[in-house]
Amino acid sequence: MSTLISAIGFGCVTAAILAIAAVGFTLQFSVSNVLNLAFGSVMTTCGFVAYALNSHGINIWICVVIAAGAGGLLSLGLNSLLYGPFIRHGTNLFGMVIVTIATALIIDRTTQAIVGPGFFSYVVGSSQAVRFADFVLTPEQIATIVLALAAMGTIHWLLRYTRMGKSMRALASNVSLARACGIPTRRVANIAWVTSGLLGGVAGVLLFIDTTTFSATSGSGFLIVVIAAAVVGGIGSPYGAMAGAFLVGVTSEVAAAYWNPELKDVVAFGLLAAILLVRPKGIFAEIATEKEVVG
Amino acid sequence: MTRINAVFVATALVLAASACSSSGSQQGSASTLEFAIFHDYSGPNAAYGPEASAGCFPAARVINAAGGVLGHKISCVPVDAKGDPADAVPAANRLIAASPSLVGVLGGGSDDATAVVPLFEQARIPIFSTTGQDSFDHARYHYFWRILSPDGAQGYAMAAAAKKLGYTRVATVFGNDAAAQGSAPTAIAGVHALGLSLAASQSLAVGQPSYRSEAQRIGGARPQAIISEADPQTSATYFAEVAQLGTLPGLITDPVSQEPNWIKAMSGAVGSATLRAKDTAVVAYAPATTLAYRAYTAALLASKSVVPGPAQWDADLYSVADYDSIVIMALAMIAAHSTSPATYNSFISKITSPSAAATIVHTFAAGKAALQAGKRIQYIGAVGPTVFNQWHNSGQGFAMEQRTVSGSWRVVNVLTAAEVVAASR
Repeated sequence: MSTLISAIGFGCVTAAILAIAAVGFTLQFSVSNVLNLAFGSVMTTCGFVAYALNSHGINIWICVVIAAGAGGLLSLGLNSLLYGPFIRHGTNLFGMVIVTIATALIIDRTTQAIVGPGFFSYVVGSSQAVRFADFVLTPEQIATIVLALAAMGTIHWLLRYTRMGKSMRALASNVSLARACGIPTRRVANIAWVTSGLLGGVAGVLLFIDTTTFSATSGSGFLIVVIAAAVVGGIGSPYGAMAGAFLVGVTSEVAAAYWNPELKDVVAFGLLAAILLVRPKGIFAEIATEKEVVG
Repeated sequence: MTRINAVFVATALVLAASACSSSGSQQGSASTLEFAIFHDYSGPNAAYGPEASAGCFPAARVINAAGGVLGHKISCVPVDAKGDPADAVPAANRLIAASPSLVGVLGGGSDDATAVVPLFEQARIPIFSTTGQDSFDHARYHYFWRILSPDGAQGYAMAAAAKKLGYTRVATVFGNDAAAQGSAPTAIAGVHALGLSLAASQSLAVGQPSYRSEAQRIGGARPQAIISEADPQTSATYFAEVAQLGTLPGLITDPVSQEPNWIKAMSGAVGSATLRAKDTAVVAYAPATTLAYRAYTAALLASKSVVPGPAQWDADLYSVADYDSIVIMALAMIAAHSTSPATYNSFISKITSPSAAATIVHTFAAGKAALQAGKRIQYIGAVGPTVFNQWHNSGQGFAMEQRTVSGSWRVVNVLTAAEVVAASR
């Protein structure tokens, strides 16, 4: 029993990081309908922003905040300067996927050219695990879970109780109708991109604190799990992304605790496939699949 | 008259074609001979390329300084294999098609050797590989050569090292990539063969964001030491979590742990002092005091314009092996009186085989002088004696090394070839 509880605790850490990233990824997708496969590269770039600051002695948690800001700016810049012109020229959804793949490659390779092919670590401080009940977690992992809960709470508040959140949901539901109702679609889309970048920045630094080491391609490597969590939850649904993240994170850790750790992804993704067989649009499917792309 | 002219023209064309053909195989007197460094310069194993460059460029330096090969200068041409057969195969095909001066290749890492070695075999170009895959132990390739022991021998040596360090209860933890899996089965077999207790055995899915459950399981098994091989990021994440959950046991690792990237990643994860105290790297042994090794070191340090931070590769056996590989190919050309890959390939084993009649040489310059004097030679390079078997494989003993505060490596013990063989029974 203690093995199961500790595995769930470990899974919560992975799920926490995954939830922040998946919500950022899917929130922006729900509003703009652009499947941004450069999201992992945004995470990596923010990770290196934090590294640059941290290596000059700045506390890692302050670095998280600054990196989040950098992520928001980078994400906004990508939409305004790169994706926006493509969308306004009529590039369709599939074409935009290719554009985002190219963007990811450009960011990753440029980052690698600047920082080199090596590995990097933050100065975080003591990381000895603390034990309570049957959970065994380090202070950084506990902070990660707390941050994720705070982020999810904020996103919930944003979507449910603010005018901007309601506008985002309106865009996610029907762009034409939202525009006809006087919602400034481009401005709302830009804010969704900024929010996505903020969350991507936080997730990137938290991921690299958790893995203890990272390289210029680490964020892109994590993207497949982020997309999986978003898809199983229902692509375009922030609440689905949270559920998907919890499912993927906990399942993989429990599988590793009880079975061959080499196959933990097989178990997690097998379960994911099974869920999609039963609910093809994911647990919380919301997005309109024929929606137009918003720049 | 017209008929005579036609015959004359036809004869001239045949002669011209013949000359072109000869030029192609003999690499025309003014051309520079190219050795491709076909390794990863990007991707998860992006350090493999610079590591091989640190062998090729110093070798080119000593060869050119000694007058080159049969009147030709030589050069090293880095080619990014990207660590994935999907990228490596087209890159190899492009290299073969577009490089008429290509005479030899360093390459075929564990991730792509199976895919690219047949291509160079078909093109009849010798390839000196650092792959550890056991599938090449008895492969009947004519142009494939391997100086360092396969991963299988590495696994046995790591088990033998555990015994020699006095451990009686060990665990094995290997990444599930091809490079690491090459030595996993033999490490486990070696542990059993030497009568050690195997506390746990794990195969890690590489590149995961977390290994906390795996780390907790290994902690629960309470091994005195962990025999391990995995890429830098996987190792760093995994062992940091093992350390967070308890005490890091002793580590017995393979030569990957001597690469700067691995050290940097692990130092960041568990701390430099802890890593120094815990890690013992088991590496194919090449005493750094030999004449050949000193020649390599001197050439390496003098190559800083093309090898950034050359000192970091001084103790790297892969770099040393790549240096020897280039020297061996160059000497084989001189012995064959030909730069044609198809011709000199069969002289590779001749210039390294021991023989009572052979003059032992340790440098390219000495080997070239002896060959030009009509002598038979045995080149004993920086990695030590290289004696190829019928499958073009060679091997050697192993050293157990620990890193010092200054960052250099100190040999704490040596495993003889016999001790490694004992672990394989």
